Amino acid sequence: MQRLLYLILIIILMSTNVWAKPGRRYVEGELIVKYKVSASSISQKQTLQSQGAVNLKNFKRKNWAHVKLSKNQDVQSAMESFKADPNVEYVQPNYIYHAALVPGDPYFNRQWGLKNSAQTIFNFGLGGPDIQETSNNPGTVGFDINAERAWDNITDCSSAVVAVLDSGVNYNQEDLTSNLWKDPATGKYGYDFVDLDDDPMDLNGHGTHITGIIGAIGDNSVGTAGVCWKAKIMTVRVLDALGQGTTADIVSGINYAVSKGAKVINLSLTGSNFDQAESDAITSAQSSGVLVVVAAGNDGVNVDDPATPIYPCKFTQSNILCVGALSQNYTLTSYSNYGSNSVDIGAPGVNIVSTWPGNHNKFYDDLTTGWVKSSQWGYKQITFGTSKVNALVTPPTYDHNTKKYSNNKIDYIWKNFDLSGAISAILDFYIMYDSEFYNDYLLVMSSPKNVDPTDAANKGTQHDDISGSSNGSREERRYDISSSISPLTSSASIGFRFTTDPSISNFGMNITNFSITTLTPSSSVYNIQQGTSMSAPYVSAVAAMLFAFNPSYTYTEVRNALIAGAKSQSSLIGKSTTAGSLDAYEALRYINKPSGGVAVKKP
Amino acid sequence: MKILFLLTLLTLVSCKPETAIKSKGFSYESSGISTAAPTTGKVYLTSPIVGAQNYNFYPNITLLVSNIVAGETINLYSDSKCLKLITRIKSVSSSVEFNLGPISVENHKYYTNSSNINGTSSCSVQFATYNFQGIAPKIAQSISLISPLSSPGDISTPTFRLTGLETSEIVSLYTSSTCSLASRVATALVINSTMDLLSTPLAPGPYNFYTDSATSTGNSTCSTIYASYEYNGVLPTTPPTAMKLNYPSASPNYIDQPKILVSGGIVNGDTVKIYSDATCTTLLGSAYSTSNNVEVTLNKLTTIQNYDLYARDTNIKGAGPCSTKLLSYNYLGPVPTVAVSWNASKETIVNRDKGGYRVYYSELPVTDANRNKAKVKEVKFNGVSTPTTVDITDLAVGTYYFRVYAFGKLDTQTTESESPASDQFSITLP
Repeated sequence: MQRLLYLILIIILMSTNVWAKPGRRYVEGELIVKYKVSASSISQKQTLQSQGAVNLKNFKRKNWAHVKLSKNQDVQSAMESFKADPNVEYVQPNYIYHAALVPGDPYFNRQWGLKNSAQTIFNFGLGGPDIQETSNNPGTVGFDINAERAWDNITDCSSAVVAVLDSGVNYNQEDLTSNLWKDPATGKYGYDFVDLDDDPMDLNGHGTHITGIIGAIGDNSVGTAGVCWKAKIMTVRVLDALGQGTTADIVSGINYAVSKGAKVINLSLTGSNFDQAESDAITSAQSSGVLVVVAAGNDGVNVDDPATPIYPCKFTQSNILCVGALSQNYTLTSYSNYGSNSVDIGAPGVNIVSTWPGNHNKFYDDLTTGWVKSSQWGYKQITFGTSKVNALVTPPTYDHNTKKYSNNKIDYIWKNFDLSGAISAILDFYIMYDSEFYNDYLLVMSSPKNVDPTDAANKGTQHDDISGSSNGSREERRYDISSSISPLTSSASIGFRFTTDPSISNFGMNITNFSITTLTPSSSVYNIQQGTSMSAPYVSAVAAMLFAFNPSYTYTEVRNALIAGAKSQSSLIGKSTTAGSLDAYEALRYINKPSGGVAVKKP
Repeated sequence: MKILFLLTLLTLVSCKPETAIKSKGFSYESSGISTAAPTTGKVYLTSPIVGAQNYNFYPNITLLVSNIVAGETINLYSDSKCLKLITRIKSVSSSVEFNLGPISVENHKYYTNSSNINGTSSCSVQFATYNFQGIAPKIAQSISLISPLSSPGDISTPTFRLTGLETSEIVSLYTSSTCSLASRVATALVINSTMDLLSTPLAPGPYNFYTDSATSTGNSTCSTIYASYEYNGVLPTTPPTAMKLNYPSASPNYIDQPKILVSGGIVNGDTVKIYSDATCTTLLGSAYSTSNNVEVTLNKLTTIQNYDLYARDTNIKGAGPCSTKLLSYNYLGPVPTVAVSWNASKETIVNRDKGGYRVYYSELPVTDANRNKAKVKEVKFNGVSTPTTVDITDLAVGTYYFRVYAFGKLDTQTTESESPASDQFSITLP
């Protein structure tokens, strides 16, 4: 019966227009009254009459009543008056309850960083290529960014644009599209500084994953929820399909984001060299009031140590916030960089489920057939340790230490691959080589046609020029061949051309473990990722939330709120400037200290 | 509509079991007409009158049980489960009286229920209490003036003899017939049945002296017998000898009605007057003294100047001599208004309902630790905006330190947030 009464109470609350009165704890003009057992219905009526109140509802329990007060009678004084009535056992306001906002996204229960219920995170059904970490999985209840309590106050961060400088985004992803910023000048989703066009499609996945952490559309019954349910995310592609970028692209990207009005820039990318140009770009962003949130990096090193600096984390501009990665138990992950002077705050960075641009397929060629080749190339099975591996070899008699190649030759080997449907392709192989340095060399080339890509007449794209010696060991080589064979069709070709001069002959080379990984776009794929790259966007999103909640905030005030709102974590003591983890709710609650105080005697 | 439908459905569901139960016994509620089931009345103490002096010393009490129906048997119990029956009465109206006593020395509670042919009602939740504390302290049998021998007289501290006292009790003298604490002029531990009590100094005038006695359980009633004495008073002969500036703490100052403590040569009943000249001509303020010192609040000062202050005692016999200069007070003019302002906080929660600022100020530097000792002005959101200025008008001369804190509430489920303190700022009022 008590449960039923409670349910009725909730329904009454829901059917009353109380939600439009923010900040009020109870419904004005109403009380819940419990009469004494001894109070007859006549006595109850007399009580109501003497108070000038009327019954709204009896709850079907004779001693309970939902009462409407007379006009202009405030709840507090009415309560005092009812309390003094001998028929009344107790009286209370008609309290307003708020639903703790929980999004209805199907993968929300795997987003432990938003709500850690000690759930086990797994990749089943997500469609992405990666699997979950098993250590610290499940984690501990409550070790999360306190998103639900923050969502009771704000879910829409769209007034503060967040620029994600990364590998781009699949702007057709079902859980992202409407939360992506469009450049008013072009109507496109940002810019691609890798290919220098306005199509920042993600050919890697990293950028799409980060974008989803910040602003996957929340409570739309699709996929995941972003920290911001509604957002404006500017896509700035500065990393290629391999996840690599350059100073030039990153600097261009920062400048673009600043010029286009971003309030927050997320840089989930690191380098080990001091980069003056990048530093200057961040300083420029600072002067424009932009907060730059950066990943600490995944080297497991102390960023403060002069021997292991990581940038941009180690830059000292006050608009930088550097983020380390926490496990589901809020331990600092083994790979997360740290530093009591440089890393500022921790955020979830393991088993992060988010959006992904599509399906990855890895094609292995067995290197035994189908290659078009000239006389000095051949197939051979080579033994490495106890393993026998198929290889493309030159010379055909290759045995790595006795048979030398012929001089003054140009020999090719190529093959056509069906890459139709894909939007990116990564070529990957191992090579062991020994050639006269500079004068004898191997070209790695590709073409979008079913032709010999190494033939100059076919105008293939050269990806590498390999010469000298690998000193008896194999080296892995990876190339983003997406743009060189674009559009990716059934007639993409990859080839090698070995050129020798008349002098000096060495032992040649073998190519093994040849594969091509393609990305076929899909709007409904999700994936699990690990790393400080995933931690930074949590902070970027909460920064956007703060900008949106407090529209006059400067980056300094946002940063203060993030730092002051951080929740102490023993795992971060001595490892970060705050020794704390991101807490969205506490950051929203924070109030910066008032400034500009002055006392003046009036004339 | 769906919600309403659901509510209706739930309401119907919730009714079902109770409806079924009622149908068996044909029980229903209505009006004040006699019902088949006995009622449960309400029990009240009607005598002695609650709150009256000495009421807990009466061994006989009267209880009223109301809200009952004629014809019922009304039972009175001493326990909340109505197991320990004291007595019962058949009612002939809607209320009955129980006269009990003498009762035992203890704290009594009284509950009730009613019986008729259909059974007995539930025990009352409501109850009456009476804490009988036994025998009351003994009041003096007589009171008489023994010094001076006759009234009126010139002695301000008359002595009275009281007889018929109980040893170990506390006997007191009062100048009011209600024996109010404010009128008490003597009190003593009774060591003999006859005691002489010396009054504290009286102000000139006629008095009637009453007495009571007290034990640890309480006071007796105030006596109806009394002795009379009229103190004539004597002309003050000694001028006040000292003044101290009570408020503000220092001179010069902006306070236009300073408070000055005058002492020396003052007795109860004197009116002490303060003047601004050595001949005690220009009156600045006066106060009636009930002891040997008195705080005089000066009349509102209107002239900005330094005041040399003199005093004299007066009573119904006349005015005493004028004192020498006892104090100087330099009035600087009206209290200045100090406008405190700060930059508006940018947090939304500060600039909406439940948001605002607190300005702490003190003559000592304000810190988080000591701000509870500082004065504070609170500025709240006014429905449109949250002000960022406040006028302070209670500052005297000196240096004052300020810190501003902003506050607000994120949502109804959380506690108030407060900012760190602003940087400290100050003002010096000369």
